[in-house]
Amino acid sequence: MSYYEATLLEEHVQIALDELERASGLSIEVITELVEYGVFQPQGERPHEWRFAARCIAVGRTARRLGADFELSTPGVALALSLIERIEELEREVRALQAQALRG
Amino acid sequence: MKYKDYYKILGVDRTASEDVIKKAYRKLARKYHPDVSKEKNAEEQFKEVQEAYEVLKDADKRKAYDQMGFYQPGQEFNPPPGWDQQFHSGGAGGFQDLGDVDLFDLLSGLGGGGFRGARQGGGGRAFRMPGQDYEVTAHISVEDAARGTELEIPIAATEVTEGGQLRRTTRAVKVRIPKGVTDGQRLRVPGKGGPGIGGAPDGDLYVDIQLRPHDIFRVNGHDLYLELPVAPWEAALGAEVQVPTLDGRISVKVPPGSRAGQKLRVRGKGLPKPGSGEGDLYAVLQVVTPSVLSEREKQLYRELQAASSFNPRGHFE
Repeated sequence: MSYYEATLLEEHVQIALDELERASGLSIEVITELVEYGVFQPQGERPHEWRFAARCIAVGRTARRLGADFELSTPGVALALSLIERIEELEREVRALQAQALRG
Repeated sequence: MKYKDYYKILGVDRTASEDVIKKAYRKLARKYHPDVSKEKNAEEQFKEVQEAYEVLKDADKRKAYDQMGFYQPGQEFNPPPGWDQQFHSGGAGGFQDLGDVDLFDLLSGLGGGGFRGARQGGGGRAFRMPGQDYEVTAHISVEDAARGTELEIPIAATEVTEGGQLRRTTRAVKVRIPKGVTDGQRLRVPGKGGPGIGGAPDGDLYVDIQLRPHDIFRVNGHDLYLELPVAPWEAALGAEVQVPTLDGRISVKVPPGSRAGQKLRVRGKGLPKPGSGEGDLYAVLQVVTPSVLSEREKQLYRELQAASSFNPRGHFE
């Protein structure tokens, strides 16, 4: 039996709008709104030219879960996502400081 | 089949109104939602809460659930005679053995567009439902993250049998993790989630990477940190010391006049990055003193004390 390749959801891998729609479970309308709110920042001018970082799949899936589980509107989802992103940044900083600090 | 007490999970009475159930769900969702919660086992807790809410918010499913009877959580049971005719119409011969069936799977098959509809395929409107996405956490070593690794990931899934019944199964999916992953990253294996129904696409498998703690290295992104203990004279006079890396030992120069907490950077000796490049290795100096001193060592320290004008607490004055 062969192994299946797992791909990293990172910045350097790019995906098109229909792939993001399929993988995140968000509708094109909601994705477009989230682009307007700056949650997703695709390269390209028009929707059919948009290229998203693969990381957007993970963000999109979180958006779908938050929207469905808390019955949030898209602006509410955008706000929650930006707060989650800030928390993740702070957690990264804490981890960096912990890694540098000497063990007690 | 094992009983689950959905009312108890939501912390409401059996007579609770829809509104009370909704409020209880919202409160628990805020507490346990894995995207926002730091609670222990948030994900499992939330799944239970979500499952309970899915059943109790739907009048038909709630009725079907209530009519199964009340048991202790985890207790093996079968629905009373006649239950399946009433709620699960069309089953060939009813349920013989529900040992493998999950209560929630059984209840979620009720109502419009259940699994039975999916199997009718040809005639009328075909029912399509994309496969479920699965999410698992893989705990791997720092060495495996650096080299890439192959994992067999066990996945618990629900299958529809030939007879149209639901069964819990566990299967292993073999997944190749590329080198360059690090703690907290997520990978996607397209099409390895649950099977789609009626020609709809299969779900995806998502793998969250968690690095197991390492005896020597701490990981920050793609950088590695290690504590580098040095003797007071090595810190004062400088030294060349051996330091472990993920691919063997290397020599590192400790400059003269080093202090505890200073970091020495070894470029490119961290974890490899996806695509290209590597993180760095940081050796954090720790000045350690011997806990037992010989007479001769004590004597030399006394001589140093007498000869030195160094005042480490000068800034207190």
